Amino acid sequence: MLFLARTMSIVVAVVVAVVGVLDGARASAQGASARKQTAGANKETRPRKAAGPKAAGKAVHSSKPIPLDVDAERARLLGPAGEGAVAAARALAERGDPRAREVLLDALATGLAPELAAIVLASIADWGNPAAFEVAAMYAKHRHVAVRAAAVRAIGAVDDLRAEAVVLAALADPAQPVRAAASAAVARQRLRVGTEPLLTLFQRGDEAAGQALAELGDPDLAKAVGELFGAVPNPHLAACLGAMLRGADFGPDTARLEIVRTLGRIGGDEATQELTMYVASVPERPARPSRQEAQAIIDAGRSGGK
Amino acid sequence: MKQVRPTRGLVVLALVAGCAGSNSFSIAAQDNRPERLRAALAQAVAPAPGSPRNRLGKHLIYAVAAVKGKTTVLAYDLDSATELWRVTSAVNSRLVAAREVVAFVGERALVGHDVASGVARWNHRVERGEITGIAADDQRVYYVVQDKRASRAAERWRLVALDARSGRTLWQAPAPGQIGTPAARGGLVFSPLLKQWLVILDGKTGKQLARLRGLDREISFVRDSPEDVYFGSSRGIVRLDLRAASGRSDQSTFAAVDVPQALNRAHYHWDAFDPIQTSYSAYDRNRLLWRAEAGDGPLTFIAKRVVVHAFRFFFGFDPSTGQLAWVYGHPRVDAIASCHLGKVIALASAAGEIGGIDVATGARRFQGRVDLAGGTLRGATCDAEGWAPASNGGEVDVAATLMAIVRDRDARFLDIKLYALDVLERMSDSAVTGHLLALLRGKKTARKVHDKIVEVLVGRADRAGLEPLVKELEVEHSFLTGEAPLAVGVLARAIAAMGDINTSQDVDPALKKRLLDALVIQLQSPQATPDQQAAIVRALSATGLADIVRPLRHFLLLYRADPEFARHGTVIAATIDALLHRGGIAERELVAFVAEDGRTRPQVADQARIALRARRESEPLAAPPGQSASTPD
Repeated sequence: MLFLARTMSIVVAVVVAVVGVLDGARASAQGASARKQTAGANKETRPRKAAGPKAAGKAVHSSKPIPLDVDAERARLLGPAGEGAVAAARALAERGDPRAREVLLDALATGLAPELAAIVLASIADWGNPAAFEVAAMYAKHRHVAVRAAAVRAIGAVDDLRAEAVVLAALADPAQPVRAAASAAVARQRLRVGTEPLLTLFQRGDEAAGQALAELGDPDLAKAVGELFGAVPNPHLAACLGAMLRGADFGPDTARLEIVRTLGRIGGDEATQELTMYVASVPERPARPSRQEAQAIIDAGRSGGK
Repeated sequence: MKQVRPTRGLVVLALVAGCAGSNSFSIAAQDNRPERLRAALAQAVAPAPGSPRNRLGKHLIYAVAAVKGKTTVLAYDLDSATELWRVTSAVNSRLVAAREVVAFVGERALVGHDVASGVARWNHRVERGEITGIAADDQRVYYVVQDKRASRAAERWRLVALDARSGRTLWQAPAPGQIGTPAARGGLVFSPLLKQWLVILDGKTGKQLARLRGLDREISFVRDSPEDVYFGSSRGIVRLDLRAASGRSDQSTFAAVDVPQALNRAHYHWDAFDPIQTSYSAYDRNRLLWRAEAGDGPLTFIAKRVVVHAFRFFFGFDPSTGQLAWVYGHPRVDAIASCHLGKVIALASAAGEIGGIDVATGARRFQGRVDLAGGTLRGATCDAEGWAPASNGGEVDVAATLMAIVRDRDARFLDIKLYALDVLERMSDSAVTGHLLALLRGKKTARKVHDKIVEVLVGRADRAGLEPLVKELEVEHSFLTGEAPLAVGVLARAIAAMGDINTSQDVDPALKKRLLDALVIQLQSPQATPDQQAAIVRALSATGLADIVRPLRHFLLLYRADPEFARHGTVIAATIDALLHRGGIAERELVAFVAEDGRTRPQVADQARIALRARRESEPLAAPPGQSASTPD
């Protein structure tokens, strides 16, 4: 009983500590961020305004709870690290009801072995629950890359203004998987402030940044990406622009036409493939100048440019 | 030195010239006779104070240069900052200045060139042997010649006096053993003999007037100055006054200067018995520059300064304390010659630059240049007593100059760089820390210098330099910008060395907050190594800053179940110790929890238990009133 009481007091104390730690992390990340609008929201959990259609896709646990002895799994999870603890973490994560989540969050807040932390953080990403933010943020600078990446994914899934600073800071992480998780989070949360770092990452060879840019795609961003012609490997550039081009809500056809022309300049199999995919994705009628131009470039390529 | 063979004409000349006879250096002479020394010194005519020796009354530097492949002798007028003359001539010794001529060993002869025009006035063919020393006063030029072929040992060494106007031999005195380069002043000539005696001769006749014997130290040099004559060895200097008749340094007017080990190549004066030092050499680049105050009292130094010339650098010391007062660094090239002229140190660089440095302050007082057409200066001699140009330099920034020395790429100066860092360690200049950090960042900093910088940064424990340390710690690893923090462990150690910053009134509260945040950033950094983490934890604990406990609690909980963390006992121990030392009951509870919880790696749990036990034994837990302290089961 004494130990249980102590554990509970530790959990409470940890949550308080985590809040303090996050203050520091946020302040640090804000230094690098052009936007500082989260500065005044230190301990405030404010729901972000509804993300666009691209932000959709959050996992939903609608199935019936799997029968599980949560207390027993908790005991295994909080025991020595090993297969039993891993199995317990997975079982509790799959269960996904409030009780199981509470157990997982408590365990995470008081410290888990890296392999367990990664499992639990992955399940938090599926919940997208703002309440999990603080605990997930504890792990955003963990020394293990897999844990860090899982933490950033979990944080990126939370609609919380506090998440922004952590996600933006993670874009500068030396480990590629963490940057990839952060890039995806920027796209998911449509953080415009993240486009500059994404462009830099894209230029430095981060493919995940290209995918994120494609998801964020708008005419201005397409132009900025197009200007990286020569600075980024052509296949990466073509893939990014092609994805933008096919985006349903990308922008007016004049902007698509610009992308088509840029892909025409890039040339090569990858660019042609992107144009072909675009032509295939758009109905012939009503006629779109961008589609016609894309078709013309494809045809010219087939005829050897004659 | 060139071996000079006798000619028939010279032999005849030698017979015509006066001979001082064999008594000048007689071993049988009586040593350390005060009455004889008193009489000899009374005979000396003191030179006019503050005046150069040359008849022009100008402050001159005579220099030897290699210009377009030819050896050139030139005279530079410091007063007008112009070259007075230059001639091409072989030079095989130092230049020595008399009133009418500047003399030196040329090609197979001693030559005298007019001080005003540089025209050769006389050429003195040496009878036999090799010249091993040369000196001059107003009227005479003296040289020491060693004749290795002489049949009698007593004739192998001779001191010869020439009339400086004509080059005519005035007298010569054979010696029973090696005689060193003499000094001449006021009509007397002072000649070291066999490193044991200093023989005082009448400059006109060569007659011995007195003889001193060093009873406890060798006599390896003798030096004249406008104030007095001094002699000594590498262990110190003795003024040639009546007390010198004791033969003992403790009963003489004696002084020794302590210089840092790194500068101990510097010497009081050129070794009179080393033939290499008869010519310009590397010995001219490592010198102690000193002038003693005139008078009968204790030997004290003009302007309370002794200056060490080491290659391109000049260090002005207060000899009474040994403290560095100023430092001057000559840009790019070595100073190949330097002279203490009373108020100013004159220097000449290999590139032909002529400089003047204030003896008291180190401020630059003169800048001139000799056009060498791409050639180099080999050596120089000053005849510029009393030269005192107006200052044309600003205040000396000792810290900045020392930093420039440390940054210098010349590998010869490693010892000097390390010494400069030693001095910087003791300086409270707030800019020093920033400079050291910049050096630490430099990729070309030599390993030993790098290590010394680390030692200095930690050793300074200077809170005035805290801000640049914090600024450096605020840098995070960034893939985007390529930035990375610098030597985090070193910075943390430097901060830990400052001790309790929390209660310090001289550290701004905002800076304290920045320090805490910066240390936490680095503690949490995934790139921090275990050693760095341990150093950061110790720094957090040492500073005693408010709120250090929260990040430490977080750190311990986050990694206690991590097998990798468990392998680094120093980090675990540092973290647990800091929590127990700086925390309260809640932190003891936390450590107890960590010790007991099943998730904790065994190594971490063991450390926690050990620390708790040690804590209990050293300081029994006292619960605050109204609160029961729980203890681990």
